[in-house]
This record gives sequence, structure tokens and C-alpha cells, in this order.
Amino acid sequence: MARRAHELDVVSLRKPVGRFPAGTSGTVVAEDPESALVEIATDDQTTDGFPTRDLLDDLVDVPYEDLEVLQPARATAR
Amino acid sequence: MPRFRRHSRYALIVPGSQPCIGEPLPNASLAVIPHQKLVDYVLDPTHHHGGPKAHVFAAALAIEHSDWRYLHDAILDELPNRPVTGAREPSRPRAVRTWEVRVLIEGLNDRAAWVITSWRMVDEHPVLVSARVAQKGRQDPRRGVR
Repeated sequence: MARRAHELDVVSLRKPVGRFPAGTSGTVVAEDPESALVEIATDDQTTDGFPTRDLLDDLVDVPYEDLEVLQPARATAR
Repeated sequence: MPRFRRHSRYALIVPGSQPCIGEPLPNASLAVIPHQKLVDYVLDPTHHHGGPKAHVFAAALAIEHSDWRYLHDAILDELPNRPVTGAREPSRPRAVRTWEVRVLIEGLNDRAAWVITSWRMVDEHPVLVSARVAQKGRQDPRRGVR
């Protein structure tokens, strides 16, 4: 059975969430009992790297079963 | 010169307070920033997603990975003085609201920039969820970021 996502894991969405399609990746920034708060990685940046979207626009609640862990957080992060 | 002022841990918790847009977060002087959030994400240039954030912190404010404590203290110093500017309603059962506060951070390069921080209320005090340098269009060019 796949490992449940934890804070600072890099994850991928197994299903679409809001305006973000399946396959979108992000980082777990908080854990709730049934879902994780994921900060979606934004590619929308100005040429010098500044984001073009607000932080709250990039946060989504995702059930743990709809997340695939791509890269576990460092051991020191938990 | 980096500031390493210790965050006060002796303020009284105001029980039952709810954040309101336009006012500072309740118990902002007791806010917590898990250091891993800065060290292993926001300021980590090697993190798959935190990397771009870290590059902007370095470019805009000369705040690098090793300066995590400076950023930690700077955010906590500013937080009680800044109002909540946004809220995000949870979309799942048993998830909680997230609150946005913009803080003006003085960099290590004599520049300043607005940094967007997001918080959750845990046991009546704010805990940092994430942070990023605000969009360029929401910066004040008179304060340094161009």
C-alpha cells in the first residue's frame, strides 16, 4: 500500500482538483485528518522568477488517497 | 547585519479569538514558524518546488538558505503589526481556514519586499503554512524591489 503523504512531501494529484488537472504537482504544507493542504507548484512566473499568482490561490485541500508521493520530505523535516 | 532578536514567548493567549480581515491575527505575538518550513522548503534552493521561492528570496532580499533564522525572526516581528488580507475556506471535511498576512521584510541588501505569508490557527495561535515573495505587481518600487 502506498505511503500516506506528510508535510513537505512533494506530491502529484491523482485526480483533478478545482482548476488543477490530474498530474499537477505540489508540496504538502499542512496535514488535516482526512486531507492534506497542498501548495501547487506554479510555473506562472515573471522572467525574474516572481510568482504571478497569490499564495492562497495555489492552496488546495486534497484527500490523502488522491495524492501520490513523488518525493518524500527530508527526514529532518518531520 | 542580521537581527536575531528572540521572539517573545511571554504574551498572554487571548482565548476564543477568531481572525478578521483587516485586523492582525489573534495572538500574533505567539505565532510559530516551524523551522523546517523555512529550512527544508521556502528557502531550500534544492527543493523541487521550494527552489523557485528560494531563488526569489535571494534575488529580491539577499536572504539565502543559511539566513533562515533572520527570515523567521523578521516575519514574527512584523506579524503583529500587519492585518489579515485574505482568507481561504477549506473545501474538505475537517480541514481548516487559511489566513493570509502580507509582511514587509527588510532584506540583507538594504531593500525591502512584501512577503505573502499564510497561517492556520492551531490551539489559539497562528502557525505558518507557507510564504513567498509577493508578485512583482504587488510590490512597492519605492521600497526597493524593481
